[in-house]
Amino acid sequence: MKYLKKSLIMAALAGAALSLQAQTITITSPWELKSKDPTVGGYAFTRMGITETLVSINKAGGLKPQLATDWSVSDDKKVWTFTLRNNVTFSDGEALTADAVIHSLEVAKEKPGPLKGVPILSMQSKNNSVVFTLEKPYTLLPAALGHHTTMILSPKAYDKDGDVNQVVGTGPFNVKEFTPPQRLSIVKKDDYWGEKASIDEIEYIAASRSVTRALMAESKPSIIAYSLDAASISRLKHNPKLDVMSIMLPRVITIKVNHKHPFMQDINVRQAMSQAINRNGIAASLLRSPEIKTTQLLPPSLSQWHNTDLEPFQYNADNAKALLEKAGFTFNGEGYAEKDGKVFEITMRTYSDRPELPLIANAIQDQFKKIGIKMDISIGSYTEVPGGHQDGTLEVALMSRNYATVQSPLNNIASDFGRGGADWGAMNWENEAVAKALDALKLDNTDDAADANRALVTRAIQEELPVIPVIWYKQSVVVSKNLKGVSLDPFDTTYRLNEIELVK
Amino acid sequence: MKRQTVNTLLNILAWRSIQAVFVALFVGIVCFFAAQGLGGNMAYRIAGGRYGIDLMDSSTAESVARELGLDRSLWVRLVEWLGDSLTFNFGNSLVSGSPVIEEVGHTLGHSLTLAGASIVLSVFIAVPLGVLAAKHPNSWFDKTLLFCSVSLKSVPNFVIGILLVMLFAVQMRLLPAAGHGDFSYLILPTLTLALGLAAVSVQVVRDSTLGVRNSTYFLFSRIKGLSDAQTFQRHGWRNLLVPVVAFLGIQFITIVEGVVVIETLFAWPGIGHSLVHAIFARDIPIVQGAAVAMGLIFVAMNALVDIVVLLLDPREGGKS
Repeated sequence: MKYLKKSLIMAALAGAALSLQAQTITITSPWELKSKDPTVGGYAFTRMGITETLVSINKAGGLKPQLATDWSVSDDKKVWTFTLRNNVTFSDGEALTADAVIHSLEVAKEKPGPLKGVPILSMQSKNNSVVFTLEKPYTLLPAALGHHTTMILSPKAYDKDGDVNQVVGTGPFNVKEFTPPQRLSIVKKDDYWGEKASIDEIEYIAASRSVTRALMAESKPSIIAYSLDAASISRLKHNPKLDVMSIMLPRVITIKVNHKHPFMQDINVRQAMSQAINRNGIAASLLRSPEIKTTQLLPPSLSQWHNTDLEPFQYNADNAKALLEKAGFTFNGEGYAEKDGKVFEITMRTYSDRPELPLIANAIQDQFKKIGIKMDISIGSYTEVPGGHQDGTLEVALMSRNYATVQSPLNNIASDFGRGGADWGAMNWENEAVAKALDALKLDNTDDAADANRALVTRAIQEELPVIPVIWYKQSVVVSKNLKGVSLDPFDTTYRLNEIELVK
Repeated sequence: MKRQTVNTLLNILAWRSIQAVFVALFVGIVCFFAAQGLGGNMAYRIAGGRYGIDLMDSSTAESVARELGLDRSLWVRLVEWLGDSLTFNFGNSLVSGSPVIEEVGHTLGHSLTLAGASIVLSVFIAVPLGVLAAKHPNSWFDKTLLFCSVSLKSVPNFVIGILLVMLFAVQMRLLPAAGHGDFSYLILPTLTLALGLAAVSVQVVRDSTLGVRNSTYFLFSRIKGLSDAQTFQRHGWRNLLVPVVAFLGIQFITIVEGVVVIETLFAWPGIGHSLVHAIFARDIPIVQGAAVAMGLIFVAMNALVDIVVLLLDPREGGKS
């Protein structure tokens, strides 16, 4: 027994010595590393600063040059020219050239991602720039070129079939060790073209449990822990070695509604459902952040798309019942709403990939019951949402939608609320005025009419409720106090690791 | 080694090898059909696993279906898998695109390391304590040990894990809380599992030892004048270890296959965790690869237990 104790202590000390030796900082998040393919696992490489895109997003949420120094569009808005940065090399020593950029983009264009939706006729290299010729004007091209799927890799990173066999980028860090699904370690690159990193080595650990990330935050000397649950945050707030930072993300938890449903096609019913939801209760009690209750679809941080003229959502269960009565419902002995002899009974699909969704679904189930809507919850794979949209079996779904997968929310707003709706957007709902406004915005979102068009779209969504917004999304991050320069990106595209310093 | 023992040993190896081939085929085929029978649209699931929630929609699902030829008949795809497997080509993951052998090798390696280390540590805890308890049955030590065993077993593994992390990582800052890399990362998950395993195996050791101590041959040896220690040395160890080895074999298999909770708690890239993900994403090659590998380990473990038991107690071999 003595020997056992001794050897355990020895082992523990040896382990401690080893972990002290390497001066690394740790990043932990729930997102597992999947593959070297930019479309499959690329987000990790851009976030960690290994790879870069032509365009990126500045701290104010606008576009900023990255591998392209500037860009311009022709008068007919069909020819875009992106000038490339000089003297940039990939980590394998190859120079960044227009041909290398075109090669990466050609591969990206064939795979899922925002570039696929761009009506590109051709991409050509001209001097040190890339010229995109479009079939029709498309104002979102620069935003699409900021998405991680359009990362620029060395031509040598690809094998014969166009698959990436090595992540060779231009960012401030190089890959030291890539061991999916859970670990990636990176080292700083001395000849980086921009602000060079100060920290030598950083390890990324994907830990799917929030409790694990919280325990890591408490035990590692220098760590940034992403996406922690409300309970852990309230505990870690009191830890003298840690800071808690948070930022609103352009992600919204909404209820997707099938507008062909005999009951929910009535606007009064959708208004009743919206008014039955106690958003403040869910935000404050369940998620412990009262500020994340939605007042409209998009949060104030997306200022262009946040319409201050709109009347915020109200919680009013009595009025909700009145609205159901107006829609022709009566309430039976059990208190459930009935119309034409049928009880108002629906199934809400949701998924646990975002752990708060089932909790919120439960709260909504309870709140709907109070106005006489009987709702079952079916928790499954998130693929059941697009699946149910396509085969028409979906009634309602509680989902978490990122409205800014690229820098401009227009990309997803246009697909979600435009003609035909979308898997993660409106279902069997169409509004011709909205569709026209979105078409106009896609052609040009900077002209005088743009503001009016955006206002029209946001108002229609608020009034007609093609989806019912519930909660905005706040990213909470725990950071060791010995790390300076940590900043959070509202689009979650980068951790800006080269700006971080370790202070003793 | 006696000739008979050698013969039995060869028999075991031959029989287990044949079994291995059948297990691999059977498990591979069953997995293939089981995955087809799971609910949900396969192309959707694969697209979801691959591209994540923000990029996945019905059009990515369609392109996945086209790329993988999911509309081809089941039999064509099964025959293809069988043919490839015969040439030791186990295909690529449908999600990551990397070779199954690489992915399963990585996660299985980590699971085996964790399982092996836990079993070894649990043996070092359970055997001395169990043998000691059996020496004085119903003593305060024996009773305390039983109490500890029961309490430890009634606490879920992950609670033990969290407590150990709080102590060694958060309070003492001696060990990393989670992750993998050097040896230090292995210690806490190993200790967590070993404590849970030892809680049960210590009682198996105790009962087995007690059985030996109460046997007539043990009594006879004492009567003929050998001391307790000598008797235990000569007649105790071999006899008490036979059931213990068989039990450890079962424990080993259980932890290789079923410690998803501990793997995720410690962010340990084990096969249980990756199998769960693969099933969600309908990543059939990975599911097949992982299941076949685990089936083969099961067979190998049984073979190993047979061999160790044979060496400990060659009489059985002599008889058959």
